[in-house]
This record gives sequence, structure tokens and C-alpha cells, in this order.
Amino acid sequence: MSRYLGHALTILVASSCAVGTAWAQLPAVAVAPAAATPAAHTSNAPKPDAARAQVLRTAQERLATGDDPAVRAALATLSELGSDAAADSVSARLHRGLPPQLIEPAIDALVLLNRPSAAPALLELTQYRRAPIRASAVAALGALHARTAQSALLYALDDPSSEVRAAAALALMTVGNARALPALWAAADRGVEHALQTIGSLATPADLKSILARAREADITPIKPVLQGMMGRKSFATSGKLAVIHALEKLGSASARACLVEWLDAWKTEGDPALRKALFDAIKRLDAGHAPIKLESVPTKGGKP
Amino acid sequence: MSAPLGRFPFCACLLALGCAAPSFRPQFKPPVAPAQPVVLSELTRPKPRDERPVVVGVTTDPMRLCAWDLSAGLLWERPVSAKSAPLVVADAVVMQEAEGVVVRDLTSGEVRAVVDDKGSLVGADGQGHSVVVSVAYDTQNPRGAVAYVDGSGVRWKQPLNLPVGVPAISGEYVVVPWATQRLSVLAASDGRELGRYHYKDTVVAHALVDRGRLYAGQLGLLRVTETTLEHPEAKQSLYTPRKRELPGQPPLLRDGYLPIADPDNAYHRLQVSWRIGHSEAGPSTENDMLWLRFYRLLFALSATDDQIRWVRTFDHDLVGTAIQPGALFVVDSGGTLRLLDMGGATLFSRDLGRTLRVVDVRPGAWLPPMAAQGTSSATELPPPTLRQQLNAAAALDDDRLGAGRAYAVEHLAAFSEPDVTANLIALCAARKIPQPVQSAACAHLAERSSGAPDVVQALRQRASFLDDTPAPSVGPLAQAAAKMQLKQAGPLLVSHAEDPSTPARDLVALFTALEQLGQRSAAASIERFVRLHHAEPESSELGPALAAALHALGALHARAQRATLEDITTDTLTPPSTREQARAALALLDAPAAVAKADAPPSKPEEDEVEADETQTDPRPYSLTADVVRKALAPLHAELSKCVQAAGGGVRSGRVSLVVDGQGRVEGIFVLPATLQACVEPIVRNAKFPATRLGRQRLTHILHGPSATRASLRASRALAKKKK
Repeated sequence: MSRYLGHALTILVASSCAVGTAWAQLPAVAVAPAAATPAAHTSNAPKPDAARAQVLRTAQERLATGDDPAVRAALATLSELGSDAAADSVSARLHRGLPPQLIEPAIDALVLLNRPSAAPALLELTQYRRAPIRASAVAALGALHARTAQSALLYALDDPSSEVRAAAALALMTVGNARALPALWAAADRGVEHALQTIGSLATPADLKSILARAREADITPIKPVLQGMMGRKSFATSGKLAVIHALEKLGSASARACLVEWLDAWKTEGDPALRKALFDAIKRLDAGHAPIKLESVPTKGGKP
Repeated sequence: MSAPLGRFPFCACLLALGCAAPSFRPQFKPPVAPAQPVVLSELTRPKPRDERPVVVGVTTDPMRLCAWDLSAGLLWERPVSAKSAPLVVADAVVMQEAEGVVVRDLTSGEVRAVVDDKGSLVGADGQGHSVVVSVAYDTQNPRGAVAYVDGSGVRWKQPLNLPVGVPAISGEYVVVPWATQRLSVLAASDGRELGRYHYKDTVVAHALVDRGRLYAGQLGLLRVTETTLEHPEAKQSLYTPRKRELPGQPPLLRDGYLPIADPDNAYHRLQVSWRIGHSEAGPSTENDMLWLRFYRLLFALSATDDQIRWVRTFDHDLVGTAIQPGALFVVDSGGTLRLLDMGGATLFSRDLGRTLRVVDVRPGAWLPPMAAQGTSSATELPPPTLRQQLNAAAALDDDRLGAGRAYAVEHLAAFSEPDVTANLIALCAARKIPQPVQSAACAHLAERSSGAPDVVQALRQRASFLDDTPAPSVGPLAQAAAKMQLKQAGPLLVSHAEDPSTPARDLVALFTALEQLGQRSAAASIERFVRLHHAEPESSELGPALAAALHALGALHARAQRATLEDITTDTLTPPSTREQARAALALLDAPAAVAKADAPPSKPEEDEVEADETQTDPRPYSLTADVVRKALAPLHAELSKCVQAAGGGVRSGRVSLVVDGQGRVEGIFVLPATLQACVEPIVRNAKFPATRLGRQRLTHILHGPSATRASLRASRALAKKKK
């Protein structure tokens, strides 16, 4: 697993719904890993143009050699250089083909260079025969916010390797849009890692009804990561979040109530006051019996409800 | 060579044992040994036996020995600790039990005699009230023994320091094979050796009497006649049914010097059964058939040639058989006794009421009343054709049957019907199937020359994790497509080449097939594979596929891909062997094309493909065919061509892979080369596809830029001619 994917995964795991203090930060970290942002390179001291051109030429020459350490060094130099030309050089070298052990550093270099022009080279690598390389390429497309990569990532959701599928689901979190939802639901149904979280990051308030329809017998446990994702997004309107709270109250199941309590607990001191109030009121009403709690999977006796 | 009578190696032991010597009387009368001609004459005269029709078997938990009279029902049931299969001989049952080699009374099941408490049962025979039993020991001296049991107990017993085979009783004589090549004739009355015959040319391990005739042998059977006894040194011609390779390699006759296997031994469920017959021409195989029992499978094989007559499958393992003229008794472990006719149909069946480990069936001359009168009707029938029978056997879901099912596949593949291709495709692609069956099916699928629509249909299937559909067997299908010259399979093969679900081992056949099909349009895809993977280490599993892909580029004269090949030859990160293959591909690419097979018209153009649509009321088409996709994309052709044109960099075509759901909605678009993606995707999204019954499909469509169309090429050529 490449480091940018690993980085995003770590954050995702830390921001799971059980950890109340972290879940509200999810939208902020779900976009792109810090390593992939241009800001990461701004600390490098700017080089004079002539010197940079010379460094670029030297790195390009070393990239063209058949020497493994020289190619690695060139990739490191180019990723530090941070220019379109550097990215093009790495892309061109990848296009020519590299031994497997050099492809990973080359992908890393492209992510560090963070140039959209790298997308075609990475798209080609999503067809590489080795699954770890496909997974790295897919993760890199997500890290680069390559919007044109959505289709390739949807393909990758169907990859024979679970590593690639998980990477694709995660990458769609940054480059996907609502068109990806049907495939992501199919992936979630087949247990693809991160698919539910990604759905939560892409769904709109209009999708709420279809999402709740998947809560069988009012048990929201299977769709909880989706709801968490929606509630954690800054881009998700407050009215949409209120609709989620209202829908859970309406469901009135034990799992729905537990979720509301969890959210209220997480937002005790911070978060939107309107949401806090809505959560508080919803739980209060549920406890007061205005909306009786439905016990999922509890058989009734003697035909009584 | 015949030995003089009276030369008897057992006598010392005999006297020591004191069980066979004549009793001591006041008047001594020297025993009279019959003259050799008399022995030979009596021994070889047919003496048919009158035997009670019975089945004797060892049941599963609890272990019991049961006997059934075929005409009357259960005779008796005794708790036993069986260490071998039972043998029904004369009016007794002989079996290795915890107490030793035990002879029981057939009528009551009571123990008549314990022949030996140290040895292992090797074989037995009987006639009337007499039983002869041979025993093997683990010791060097003695290594074997022969015992004679009459109605009251052991009359005599002869130990020997050489191994003893399966004996037989013929009249007043006991015939004993021993020491691999020797046959001795003993007097039934006291065990004296009356004759000894050394067969230097063959192995003798069994002596047996069938319908009164005496036979001996191991690798085949020799009719014991005066001539064969008088000239044992002569080359003997043994009779056997035709020998052939069979699954599990069961022998035609079990090794006559080895003890009988325990009741649960697989030997009892994996056997060849045949019965010696006799005609004017000499020995033959009864019914001209032998039967291969393979657990739940029963193959009826021709005795004279390597052919299967019929195959039947059963719910339970077969644990015993007996061959009758024109019929076969089989007993399965579920406790059902069946009488099968020569076509495999069940004429008669009876539930014995016990589950069984092993049985010995001795029907004698008995037949069920209806069958005897010829008025019985078949109650269970095998599938009507041998092809269907073989397919049913090959598809039987039982992992123990791997070799048997593979044997069925081997014979199934001999049929040239297109349906067999479909059967082989299913077997080759089956996920949970024993490896020998799959290997056989895939190997024969690659050789098929009929069933083209099935091959194309199978290639249309795509592996999908989300839809839980497995990958088809791309390698064998590609080979079959190449053999059938299915040009329409080309694009499908290309899409499989780009699919990571296609196993690396299948890529070799795939690239070779593209080469053999002359699919120049596949060159770009092959080039991409080569370009991406050429620096894989020499030990990589992709090595053979790379070699095949490089060869295909050369053979297809893919001049547009020359730059990639040249680049590989100079790339020092590429293994030397791959660089050499690239050089060879360049040489092939530059070589003058042979007779332009590649440009030959397709044997069956894709446009001509007609999808066999079953009769049904749903108006939706079953699936999106290539034709439907072309029609749907036709209005967008101009725009798409512009994308290719605008791509530059020598791009003259592109490949669009689509995922379209059952409602005709485009779920995903993947364009290669990737530089076309941004331009092509929004255009293709506007395409309108019809809803289908099949559901989600993956489709591939090739885009051509205006400069790549044949029409424009033709036009430019025509213009050039005019200018001239």
C-alpha cells in the first residue's frame, strides 16, 4: 500500500464514528493527504532558473539510464524540483516502461509533483498486471484529484484484487461525484473496504431516502458509515443534516437512537448549535415515548405488536 | 514341465502338524495315488456348481456381517470385527476377522472353523461342503499356507516357505498357485501333492473355476487343460480383455499373493470387473464387456476395443458387482441391489435395508423372476445418449471422482458435436472442480473445431467481482477461437488481454491467438502490454506472455509499434532475453509478409452474428451486441473521430470500454489511450443504449480517427493514381 493511501486510511480509521471527537474533522482530512499538496514543496528553496534547468537535464539523463540507483536518484531529484517538465519527464519514463521495483518510486514522485498532466501515465498503470502497482496508481489518481479518472476508478472498484478495490473506493472520495454512487453501493454490498465512507462523502440530501431504505427493519448499523460521512461533511448543508436527524428520529430504532446519542456526545461542546439542539430534542422525544423505540429483530408474542 | 507324482515338499510339515496324515491302523495299506493321466483328465473336466444365490456384506456402524438370499431375503446378521472383505465360497463365508481367518456357515452365520489366527486371508474357493483357504504370513518361514475345511472343521493344513496364491477346488483336487510361477495339484482328501507344474513364461497367482472350467493366471487367464498342464514350459497365451489406461489404474485381476483388503479400503470401490467366458473360439469376456467401478461411477467398457459403451452415475458408491450372462448385479453402499441390462438400465432393484462397506455377490444362476422370463421393464434409465451420459459423469459433483470424471471428459471430447464444446466450456470454467477434470476439459476445449457461437459467447463473459461472475477460461477459448479462425473473437480477446482478472498463464494463448487470427487492430493493445511490462524480471510469471506478445507484434507486421520494439532493444533495464525477443520481433516485422493470411476475409463477420433468442414475452433484447453498440454510437461518430484526430502524437484509433447497466445507463467509460479520455467520455455519456435482460455489461468499442479509415485510405490512393 502506498504511503498516501496509508496516510488517508489512518485518518479514516481514526475518524470512525465511534470516536466522537474526531469524526467531525472527517471532511477536512478526506480530501487529500498533505504529502500530495503543493504546499509540501514550498519549503524547498527556489533554485535559479539556469541551475534548475541543469538539474532537470541531469536528472532526465539519469532517468534514461539503465541503472537502478541512478533512476531512483533522478526520481527523487525531479520530485524535489517540482515543475511541469519534471512531471512530464517522470510520466514519459513511466510510459516507456520501468521495472516493477522502480514503478512505485516513480508514482510517488508524480504524487509529490502533483501535476494533472501525470494522470494519463497513471491511468495506464491501472492496467498493470501486478496488483500493488495498480493499487498505487489508483491511489495516486485520487491523491492528484484527477477528475478524469472517475471511470477508471469505477473500473478499479471491480478489480480482482481487494487492495485495488479499497484504493479505488478511497480515491473516489476525492475525485468521485454522484454518478459513482450506484457502483459504490454495489461495491459496498460486496464488502469493498471504504465504499460506505465514500458514499457518505459523495451523497447529497436527495440520496437520503434511498440510503435509509437500506436500513432493514430500521437497523441503521449497516449504513452508519454513510450517515457519519454525510454528517461530517462541511459541504453537506445543515438542512440536510437536520433531515438526517429527523429521519433517524422517525425510524425510532435502538440503533438510530444510539447513533443520535453518539453524535450529541461528540458535539457537546463544539459543532453547529442548531444541530446540537435538533439532536437533543430528537433524543428527548424518543425517550418521552412520542416516537416509541422500535426494537429490531425482536419477535412478537401471541400476535401482539 | 510336469513333475513326478509324490515329490511333495510339504510332507515334513504335514506330519509335524498331524492334521492330514492317515490314521494309524493295525493293517497298513499304502495310500494309492491316482495316475497322472487320471488326475489331468479329472481336473480338466468341467464340473458345474450348484450355488445358492446370495449377497454377503459388511455393514457400516454398527459393523455386522449380513447374508441375504436373493430369492428369500435376509438370512442372518452377526456382529463381527471384519478385517477383510467377505468371500462367499460353497456353503460358507470366509473372512479375516479379529480372531483370525474365519469360516462361517452360509446358512446360519455360525463359525465353522478358525483356520488361522496369525495369517492374513489371501483367497478361498469352495464346492459343496468343502472350502479351501490360502493364508499369507508376515514371517519368512512359513510365508503361506493352504487349509482345507469340510463341513465339520479343518481337515488339513499345508504351510509353505514360499507365498501362496488364490486356490481353487476342482472335483477331488485342490489347485494351488505358489511362488509366482508354480501350480500344484493336491488331493482334497489329505493334501498330498499329486502334481506340480512350473510356468516359466508367465505369472500364476490365481486359480479359479468358472462354470466348471478351471483357469489360472494373473496378467491374464489360461484355461487349464491337459495340454497346458503337460507343457507348462511352452509359451502360454493368456486371455485378457483389451488392456487400456484406466483412472486409478485398477488391475484386471487383483494381485493373488496379497491379502484381501480391509472392508473400507478404496480398492473395493475402484475396480475393474470382468468374467471369463467360453466360446468355441476359446476363452472370451462374458457379454464382451468389462465394468469399471469408480466410487459412484460405473463405466461399461468394450472388451475388445478402447471404447465406452455406457456410463451410469449413482447416488452411492458401488461396493460389489457380479456378472451374469446378459446382466450385471451391482450393490451400492446405500444398500440397494440392482440388476442392470447391457444398456445400463435397471431391470430390478431391491433395498437390502443396510448401509454397506463391502459385499460379495454370488448370484449363481439366479435371475429375478421377471428378468428370467424376459418381461421386466427398466425402472431407471441412463441418459439416452453416450454423450449425455459422459457429460453427466464428468459434471458429477464429487471431488473423489477426479480421475473418473477426467476419464469421462476424455471420451466426451471425442464427440465433434457443438454441444460438446459447450459442455467443455462449462467444465473448463467451473470454479470448484478437481484439477484433473478441469485440465482435461481445457485441453480438449483448446482443440475444438465446432461450437463457434459457444466460444464467442463464453468470451463475452467478463470476470466481475461486483457481479460475482468468474473469468472465462480465456486461454483454451483463445486457442479454440484461433483454430476455428473466429475473427469476431479478436476484440473480445483484446479486452481480456487488458483485464487484470485474466490469469498470466492464459495470456500466452491469448496473444498467440491474436497473432494467428491476424488481428492487426489488436497491435496497439499488445504494444501497451509490452511497453508496460517489458522490464519485468526474467523470473516473472509474465515472461512467457511477453515473449508471445513480442512475437505477435512482429508477426502482425505492426509497423506503428516499431518505436516501442526498438526502445526495448536498447533499454538496459530490460532483461537481455526480452531484448533479444524484441530484436527477433523487429526482424519478423521487417520480413516480407507471407501469403496475407491476416488480411483474409473473416470466416464469419461479426455483423453476421445472430443471437439465438429464446421464445419469451419480454421485449427487451437479451444483451447489447456489437451491432447495437455501433448503432448507439453512430450519431456520435463524427465527434468521436475529431477526438482521435485532435489527440495527435500518432494516435489513429482508441479503445472505449464501457460499463452499461441493465437499464442502458452508462456507468463507466474507460478510454485508451488515456489522452482521449477527457474528450471521449462526455460524448459517449450521451449515447442511448436500450435496456437489456442480461443486466450490467462490459463492452468494448474501437474508435477510428478520420485518417485511419479504410475509406479515406482508398480515397487517397485513388487520388494519388489520378495525379500520376
